[in-house]
Amino acid sequence: MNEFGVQRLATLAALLGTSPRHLLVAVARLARDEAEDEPMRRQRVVADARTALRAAEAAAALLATPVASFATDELDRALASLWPARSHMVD
Amino acid sequence: MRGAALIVLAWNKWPLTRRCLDALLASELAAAEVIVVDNGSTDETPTELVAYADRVRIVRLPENLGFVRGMNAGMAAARADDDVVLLNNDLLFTQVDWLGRLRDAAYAAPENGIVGCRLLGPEVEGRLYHAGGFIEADDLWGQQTESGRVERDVGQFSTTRRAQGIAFALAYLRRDCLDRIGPLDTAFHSYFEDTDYCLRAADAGIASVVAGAVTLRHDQHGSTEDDGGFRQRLWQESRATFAARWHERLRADYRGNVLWQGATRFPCAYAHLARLLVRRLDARGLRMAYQAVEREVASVEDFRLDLATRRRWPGPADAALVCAPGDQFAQAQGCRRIGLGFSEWERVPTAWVEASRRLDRLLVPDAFQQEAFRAAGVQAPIEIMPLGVDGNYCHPHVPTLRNPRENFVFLAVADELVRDAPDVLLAAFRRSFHADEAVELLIHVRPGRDALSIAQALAPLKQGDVRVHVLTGWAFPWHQRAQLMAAADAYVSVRRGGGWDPFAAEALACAKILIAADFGSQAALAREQGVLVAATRVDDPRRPGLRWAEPDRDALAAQLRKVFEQRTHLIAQAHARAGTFARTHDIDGSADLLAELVTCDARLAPPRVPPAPHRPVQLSRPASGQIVVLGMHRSGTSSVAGLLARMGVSVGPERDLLRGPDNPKGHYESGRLHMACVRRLAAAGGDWCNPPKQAPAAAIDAFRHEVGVLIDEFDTRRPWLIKEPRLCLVVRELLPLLTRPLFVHVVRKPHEVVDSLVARNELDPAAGLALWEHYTRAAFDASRGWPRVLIDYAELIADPHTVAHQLGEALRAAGVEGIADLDAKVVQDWVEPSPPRARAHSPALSDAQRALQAAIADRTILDETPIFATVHGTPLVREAG
Repeated sequence: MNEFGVQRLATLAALLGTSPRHLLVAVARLARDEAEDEPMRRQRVVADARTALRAAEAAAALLATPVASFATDELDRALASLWPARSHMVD
Repeated sequence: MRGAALIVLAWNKWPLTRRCLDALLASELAAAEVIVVDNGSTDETPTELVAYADRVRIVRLPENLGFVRGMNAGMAAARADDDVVLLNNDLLFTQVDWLGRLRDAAYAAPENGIVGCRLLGPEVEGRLYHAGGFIEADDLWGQQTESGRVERDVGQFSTTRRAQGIAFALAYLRRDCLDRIGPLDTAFHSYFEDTDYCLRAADAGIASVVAGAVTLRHDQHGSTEDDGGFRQRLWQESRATFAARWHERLRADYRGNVLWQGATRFPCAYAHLARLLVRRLDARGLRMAYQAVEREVASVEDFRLDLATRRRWPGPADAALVCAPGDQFAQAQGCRRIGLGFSEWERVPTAWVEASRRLDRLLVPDAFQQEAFRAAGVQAPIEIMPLGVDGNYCHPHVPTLRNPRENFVFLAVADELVRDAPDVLLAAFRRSFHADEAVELLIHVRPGRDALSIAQALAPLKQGDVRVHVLTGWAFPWHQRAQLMAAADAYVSVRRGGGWDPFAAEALACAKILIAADFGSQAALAREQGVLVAATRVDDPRRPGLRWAEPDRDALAAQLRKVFEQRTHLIAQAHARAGTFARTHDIDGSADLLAELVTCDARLAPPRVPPAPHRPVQLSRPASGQIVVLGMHRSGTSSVAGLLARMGVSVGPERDLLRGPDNPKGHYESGRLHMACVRRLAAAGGDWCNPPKQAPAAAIDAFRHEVGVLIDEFDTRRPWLIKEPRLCLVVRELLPLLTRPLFVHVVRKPHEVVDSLVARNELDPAAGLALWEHYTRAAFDASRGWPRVLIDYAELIADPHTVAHQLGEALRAAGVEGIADLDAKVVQDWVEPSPPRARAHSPALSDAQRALQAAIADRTILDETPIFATVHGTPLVREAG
């Protein structure tokens, strides 16, 4: 793909709210499925591309977030592990 | 004595019904009648119920009519004046005084018509399924708690509070609420009828409240059977009915679109604010959307915040709220743009000043922050918006696991190594205490980018010291945070950075000792209510030119030592202050202010004007003839009671009436009532001249039981009156026993009351004046919303016949039967002026006391209700309109 093509792809991807790479993947899938009519196929491709982008972004964000913040546990388990002897529940 | 009809609806599942009834009948059911509505059961329920027939009333329905019609049948069977409690048969009554506590909540305010309670699920560890909820307007998903999540029971929502909706798995309905709203709407079969009822009640000014003092167990959906989609169809039909009635109305309560731009994870203090405020702004009619200012996987432990992350609109929001470090203010995307932020340094960075040019308004939590932005040259208007605490979660009675050795525990929370200086604290702690002292340090290192660095920095300093606990790698549900605080005795916020630390205020609300650096947002709080640690201004090593504060290590060690040595006193002080602190630093106040600012800045429509609060006096049912005479000691209540007696009002058996040298003609006061009042005040640690502020629930129950017997006896002959000056203080507790009562207030000039008290009891005049104010306020507050009459003793003395005549007219107009008009001579013979007394040197009235006296003089103290009778041109009785 030449520079002009790259630019067009980037612009189209931006308009559709996805990335160039995901758009290409979606278009490649489009070629495999000829049963659907054209407008429906186009809509599905765009939807797939957007979904893929959200999933990829979420995965990237997950990597940037400390694992421990997802491994939530009950606080009383932590306290029970901290206090060396048997704790007692009070209020 | 008015009772309560406890209506248990049963349809098959006899073991569940039996479990419910056995637990119910074993609880305290004063003046209650249990009505079991058998909704056409086809199992053993009809035959097994026979064994309970001596303890419950059984209403049999020929077929299953559903929840709504079944409950309505039970309500129709209830005694005419009874309050009603709707009960599912999958409830388990794990608290014996549940009914008494529900009654307390029901009669705590005249507008409280519907009362629910906290409901736990079946889990052993206790999970809160219901604590009063709401219904969101977009898709009509009803939520059972404010967060919309099933949370661990951490003692949250333990006070009586309003909610939009109550689940009718348990609902206490006051009779005057039933009179006004009627039965459940049969347009519904089994779902949404409760939310519909609460919303209709709200339109009539009736409040739905949750009695936080009652916690029961509810096996969700135990009372219905799934028959392959039948329940689902019922739900869908009811939802459609509900939507047709309420959907547009609920949507219309949204006044504008507001975009919250911030964080739900890091930085933690900003994430804390998103969780506290997004839900509250949404509940205040601002349709909230959420957008992260930096890439994150949103942490949504709240239904409304979750909803906000999914909402998007075409076009810009009416307002954007950027709650993030100041360099993010440039991202603000709304027609009006408001920043909410705080600085770690004494002046914010230049980049923040540039970014803040995008803002129309900047909000900061305190004066330190205002100066930090102002000194750096921020041009936008900067206003202080105090950030309060959520007292529903943070209070002194949060259950937790305490240190088993009962050692004194210091707690600190660290997110960033350099900013939070946990290493400085750990070193100071080890310097301050010997190995054998009963003290420990707990540092919670929250998951984040710096967690590993902090753990690595602290490890060598700990040196195997078993008194030091570094909690790393743990993350907890946000709603459990106060349990961490409750596990400690003091919270240490001695940091280099001066940014707002939410745990500081939460510590005070939880009755913990606050220790904070004399720098930044926490300094003022610690100066007023905690312990300050000196700090020296230094450059932030990561940001040259930006100054923050290095804690003085010697001062920190000394203050830790001092707190430990004075711990008994400081803990007691923290407990004494916690309640007031939480009330005066309430996050709902912050949310009110923020919603108002957004409304003003974005020129949004104001919130819908709420309906006038419901008052029992508004109902057309006549007063029943139960009359309560209220007045401070020495105010002329005996004169008025004597008049009423001559009009035909019963005062009880002659042998029971008190007589004393200070009132030889008689008090018209029951000796048993007098002793009940004396015992009630004593049980709470006070007496008539030292009124206790609070009473144990058991004292209230005992008082109610004692007076209940008396009322049953009196009720055989209406009209009757009860009179005792101490009733001013405690009559509110009797409201659940009374049926459409009428209150007669007798007032007298405060100096005359004081003179009389000084002469009779040798009271200090200032104390006497304070007592007059206390009794008078308590009496008028207790009768608010009920039919009431005001008699001025001076007017009675000046013109006894006219006042007596108009008093009789007022009682008859209120519906009291059997009131005779008195002959002038009878009145004249009875009412005679008190002998003049030597004037005590009474102090001047305070402004508040003068205002109270003026409100009595012009009768505005009876406001909320229109006049329907007057004496000498001033209102005598008023009723609501």
